[in-house]
Amino acid sequence: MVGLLSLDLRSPSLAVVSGGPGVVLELMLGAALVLARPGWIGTILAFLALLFLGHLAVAGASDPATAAVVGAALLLIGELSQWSMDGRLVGSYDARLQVSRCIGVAWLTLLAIGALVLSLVAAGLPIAGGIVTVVVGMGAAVALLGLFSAVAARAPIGTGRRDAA
Amino acid sequence: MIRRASPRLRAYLVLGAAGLIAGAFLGRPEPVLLVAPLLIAATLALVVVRDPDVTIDVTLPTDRVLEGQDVELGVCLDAPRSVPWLELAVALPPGLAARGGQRVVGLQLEAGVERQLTFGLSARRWGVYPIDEVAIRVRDRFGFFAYERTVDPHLSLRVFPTPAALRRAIRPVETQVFAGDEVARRRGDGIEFADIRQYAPGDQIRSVNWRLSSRRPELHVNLLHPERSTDVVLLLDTFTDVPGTDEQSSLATAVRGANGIANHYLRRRDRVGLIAFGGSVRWLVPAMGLGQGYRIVEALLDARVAMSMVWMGVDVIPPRSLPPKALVIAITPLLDTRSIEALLDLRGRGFDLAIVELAPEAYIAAPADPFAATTRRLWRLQRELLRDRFRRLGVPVATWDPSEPLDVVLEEVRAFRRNARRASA
Repeated sequence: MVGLLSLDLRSPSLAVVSGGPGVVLELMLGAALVLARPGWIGTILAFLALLFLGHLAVAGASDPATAAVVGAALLLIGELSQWSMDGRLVGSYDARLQVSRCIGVAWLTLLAIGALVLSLVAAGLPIAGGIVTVVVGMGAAVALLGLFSAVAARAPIGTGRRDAA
Repeated sequence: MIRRASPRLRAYLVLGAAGLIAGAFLGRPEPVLLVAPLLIAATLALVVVRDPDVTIDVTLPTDRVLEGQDVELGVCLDAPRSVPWLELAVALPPGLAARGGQRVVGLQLEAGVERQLTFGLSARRWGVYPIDEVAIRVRDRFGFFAYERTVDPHLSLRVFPTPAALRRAIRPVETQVFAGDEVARRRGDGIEFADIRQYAPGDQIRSVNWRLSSRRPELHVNLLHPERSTDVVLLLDTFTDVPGTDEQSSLATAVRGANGIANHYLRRRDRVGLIAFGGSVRWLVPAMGLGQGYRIVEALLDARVAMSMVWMGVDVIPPRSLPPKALVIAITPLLDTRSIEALLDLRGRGFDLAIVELAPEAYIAAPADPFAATTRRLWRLQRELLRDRFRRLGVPVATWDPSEPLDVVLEEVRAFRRNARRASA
């Protein structure tokens, strides 16, 4: 998504020039996931951010709303990549761990988006779709996630004996 | 506990700082908005982070098992605060294996609720195994921080070798003076019939064979074999260990064999001693009884190859551990010159010697190319010459392939000794 948002579609040659680094970064991300290198995530995020900023600089445009969306996407990329690497550990893992992590990532992203919306509102910058739509959407997302969290928290954790093998 | 930050957290902070500086420098909101979610996540991680304070208790229901048996390692976990992600790993020495292959578990802990886990361990090879490393890693809900701790439960598991099954043992040439289960070759007071001869003054009346004497003009008496004990010394060659696959090796097989032979002779109330002859020499003076059985097993658990280039002969063995008239059963792969020379020396000193040879071919891979195959054939010929050398000295050499029972191997020794006796008679 970050790659698509960074595409410069003013001319075919510009699209190729701006799309090339995006493809390379996608490949780098794929390699980091396959090779399970969490140390690469930061570098990839930095290059993705640079790609988007480069696109804005070349286009000479100012687009705070899209920048906020790309910021949330960067966070999501970092969290999901790390989760993917953690989930591949060898051993016998409770399924609850993954549910808990999923809810954690969702809360983190939601919190970041909420903070971004507040900053945009505070700075008086335009919000795509209008403030009401965004507030309703955020409220619905929080309610849904709260429901999931409550259900997950009520599921019993193994309190008795449990065979690890 | 050692706290480690995820590389992702450092990346978020660095990117956040760079975005803020770029925003301030360029005077545009986009760089700040781009990194704001990362900064929010990093700040949240730093705010909610807490030391998990997990207590761990590791127990073993028993510290002694037989080879091949299973044992349950119990782990009890407790924490005052809930732990969203805990990984626990047990480091196992090579002779122990986790049943099901799982040594790492991931779980959650509720605040104040004790959680008990059991790890099934399989004892694959005899030995003394310390269980001295149980590692836990606790992550926070978002995986930004990991707390690691290694616990040493100070536990050890003694895995006793499975004794090789044995129905008949090797009869020694000479017995000792004490009563036992072995029918002596000499004649005296006993139960087993040996011969008949004419009555001589001094013979006891109860030994007169009345049925024969009634048909003859003179009295005849029965001669009997007395039951005596024997001294058996097990000589374990620890100069060389031929490693095989799946925790098997020539030394592992030798220990199982020695344990089986020792058990058999001890059950017959014989005195059994042990000499581990190798880079370091260990010995147990022959003795009888259950206690000696335990001492032998404990000594066998310590049997290992100690690398040494020092020349060693039988002189280093204390004389008390090699009593006269003892039957010496050597269990050896016949690979080290020092052990071969020591065995020849023992035979030269008149000891009743039998060799159980652990076939090294059973542990090493088949030759891969014609050159290796030729070399292997030459090596086999060389070993056959060595066996022949021992046989010419009256020492039986029986080759033990670990796939066949020890009884079959000892039958070969018995047959050799029987034939040798007939030939000499």
